[in-house]
Amino acid sequence: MDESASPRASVLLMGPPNVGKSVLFNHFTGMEVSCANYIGTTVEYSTGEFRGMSRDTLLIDVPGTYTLEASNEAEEVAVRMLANPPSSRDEIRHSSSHCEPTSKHDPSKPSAVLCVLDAVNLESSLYLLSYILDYRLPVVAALNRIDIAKKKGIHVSHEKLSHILGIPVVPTIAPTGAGTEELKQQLEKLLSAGGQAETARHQSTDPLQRWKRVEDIAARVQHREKQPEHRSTFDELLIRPWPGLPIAVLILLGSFGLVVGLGMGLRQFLLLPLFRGYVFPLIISGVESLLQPGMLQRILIGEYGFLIKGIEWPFTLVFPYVLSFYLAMAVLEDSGYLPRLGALLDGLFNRLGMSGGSIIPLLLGYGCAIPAIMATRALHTRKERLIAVSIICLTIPCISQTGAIITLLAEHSAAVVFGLAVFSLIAVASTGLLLEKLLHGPLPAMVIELPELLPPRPSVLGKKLAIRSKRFISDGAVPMIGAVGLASVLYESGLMTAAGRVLSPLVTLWLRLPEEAAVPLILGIMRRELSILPLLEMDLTALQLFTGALVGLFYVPCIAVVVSIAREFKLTTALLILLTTSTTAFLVGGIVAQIGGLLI
Amino acid sequence: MTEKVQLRRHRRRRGAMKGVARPSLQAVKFFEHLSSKHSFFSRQYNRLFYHRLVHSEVAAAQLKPGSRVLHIGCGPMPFTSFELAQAGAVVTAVDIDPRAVEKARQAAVSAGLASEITVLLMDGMDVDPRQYDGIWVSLHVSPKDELIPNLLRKMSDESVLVYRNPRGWLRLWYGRCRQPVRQRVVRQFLGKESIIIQKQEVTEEVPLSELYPGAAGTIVHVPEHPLLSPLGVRKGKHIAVTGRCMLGGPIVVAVDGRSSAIHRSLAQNVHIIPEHSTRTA
Repeated sequence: MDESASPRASVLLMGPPNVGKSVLFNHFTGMEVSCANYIGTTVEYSTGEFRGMSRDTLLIDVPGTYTLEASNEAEEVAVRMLANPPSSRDEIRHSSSHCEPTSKHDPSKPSAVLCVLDAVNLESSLYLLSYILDYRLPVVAALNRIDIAKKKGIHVSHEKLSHILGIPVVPTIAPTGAGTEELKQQLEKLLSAGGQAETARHQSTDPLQRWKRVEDIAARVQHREKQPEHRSTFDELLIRPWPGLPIAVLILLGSFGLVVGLGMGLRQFLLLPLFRGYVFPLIISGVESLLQPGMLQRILIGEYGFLIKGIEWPFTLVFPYVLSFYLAMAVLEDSGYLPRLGALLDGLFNRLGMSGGSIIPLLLGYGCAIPAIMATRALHTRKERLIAVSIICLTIPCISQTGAIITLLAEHSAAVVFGLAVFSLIAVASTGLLLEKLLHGPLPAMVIELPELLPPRPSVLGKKLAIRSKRFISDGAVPMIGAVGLASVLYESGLMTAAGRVLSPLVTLWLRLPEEAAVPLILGIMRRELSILPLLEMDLTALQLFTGALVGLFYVPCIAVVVSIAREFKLTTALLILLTTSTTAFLVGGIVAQIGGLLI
Repeated sequence: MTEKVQLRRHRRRRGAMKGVARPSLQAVKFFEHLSSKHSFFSRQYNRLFYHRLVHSEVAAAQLKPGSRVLHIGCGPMPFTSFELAQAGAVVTAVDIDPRAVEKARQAAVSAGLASEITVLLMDGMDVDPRQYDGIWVSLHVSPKDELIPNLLRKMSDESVLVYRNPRGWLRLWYGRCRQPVRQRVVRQFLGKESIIIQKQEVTEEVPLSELYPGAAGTIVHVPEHPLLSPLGVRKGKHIAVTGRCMLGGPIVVAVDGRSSAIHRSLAQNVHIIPEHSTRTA
């Protein structure tokens, strides 16, 4: 907290969910906050330097909320920030659920609020704004999404709105950047006018009266060409069992096809030739010219040589699938289809103890379990969160692991991949059914907005892919190279073989795998895909491959996931999940191996 | 009782209603012609299909003895009319098929119910429903989408409307008709359900969870929930139902052009005064 009179200004970026705040944030700060066409993308908040301002200004992206009644976590964060914004820059903090005690110091109030209004859904935006205005802070409003409003025949007069509210209102189109310059100028004007925070508590008014006031204002500034009609029939069809269910299956299968096809193509035709043909010979000749043959050289370029496997695996094997998965996910997110899928499947998911909304964390889990666990915060009940997290950890492979499994199995037969997918789905259903019975708690009652169906915008897709690639290299590839490095040290030093011998009865007798298959089981604790990858180098039969992949699928989530579960829930929860997953892995894998061994 | 009122052939909608209904109609007619000739067959048929059906309907409709009842689509063997008459009602049975009307008259005489049952040759759309305390509409009557709203509009405020819908696979043969009003649904034997609507309750508020796509109305009550009012689900707003998701999933609604899905347990506490509009489910 700045005790000194800091000249730095802080601006809160606020607005209802799914209004395009994050797009504006990225535009103003040049940073990368994820955005999607569904509610609750920003559960954490981020801060960034407001670029191009004459004064040192910090922009804070507050989670989207509909009200400031502090009825959920996001709203609590928003209320707290209005009183006391975070002061350090570039900090992405996890919002703690503890309310800070009222500070004895004079709280450093935000210098201004930039409130984003949705021109399409003006009333609910104005409702939030009315709460913000109660804080008597300097406020600028951006009237966003005017392009979509115009298309729907809704005209909003920003001059009139500005006049009624007594604050500057700037029409904007966030994705194209239209209006953002003027917004910046208005903010600059407000900050230089030295709009100091007045100290006045917001008066609590009855929500009904507040809505009445807001509806009045909206009626005065808004003009509709035609009465709002309900959505096109196509939209309605998506949420009906027929043809919505077959369409959902087609869309999910299509996405799966895109992930696998594009990933395999990138690997086979672009990355593998590139690395095998140009990068590795360079590395090998470089190392050979520098080092004498010996243990160190083997660690670097030997069997588990981490300059070879440590680069080949992340970049030619995992990276293509990361790209193709996040492309497919970005298309699904940006189109607004996911909430519809959630509504369609809600009845089914209720039987598994979850609401349809948990389809979003589950799908995210196919990318990486950690953001998926974060996304479960948007779910309403604790029971639902626990079930979703258990399913993600037990049965949903992350994209690195999927890439490894596909590479491992697809060369042998596509049927094995299909069989594994079926096993995975059965496991999803049975985990849900079982936990629904075991855990107590009310059935989640979902309310979810179904936003406009929009064609995915290539610029947004491109940006998202760029963010994901960067993040993969920093958060995915580097730890993976490290893990492979550690593995090669263990391997070359003989420790791995020793550990393998200890596990060998389990591996050779129960799972019917070669003794060296104990190695991936140890590595898999560090990173999920490493429970599969080393199998690639072994000469295994189809049944052994299937067993290995199955064990890898159910096996422990990686260490980072266990840590984040412990942080989100309790250490005991994390340990329980750890125990359950490894037991299931050996149990299911062993049964398949034994039965398969009898049949074949 | 081949219950068939053919109302304006040119307005028959939906594939399921076209042609497909004909063979099944012929089959039912055949059985009922048989039973109008042979009393043993008739008794079994009656016991199997109609006795319990009509009794549960009469109980659910709270029909008092001495009530005047209109039965639309009575067919050649009007079992429903018989059961109603035996429950103490004075029945006017109508059908659009002259042959069926003739047979039904004979059947009423031979059942000894001629004084309680009057059979008329009429189109259900042309009957004036105001003078009846209860109106029964048979399963085979089509198109119900026009007939039922018409009856609901015209019938007297104290009267009750009972009609039958197919359940399950039968839905593929006969269209299912749902009205955006408060109703009792009684599940029946062999893939049928009876819908009982008290006219008094029609103008009253209905839980959102009981409405079907195509229904619309004004919101009069909303439960406490942080998300409902921001999504536009507030008192006084016009709301349209655009979907009901499968397996007891959410009700999908549009308010001010904004779509949201509301779980059924919450939708139960959102109360609507529906405006009249119809669509088959």
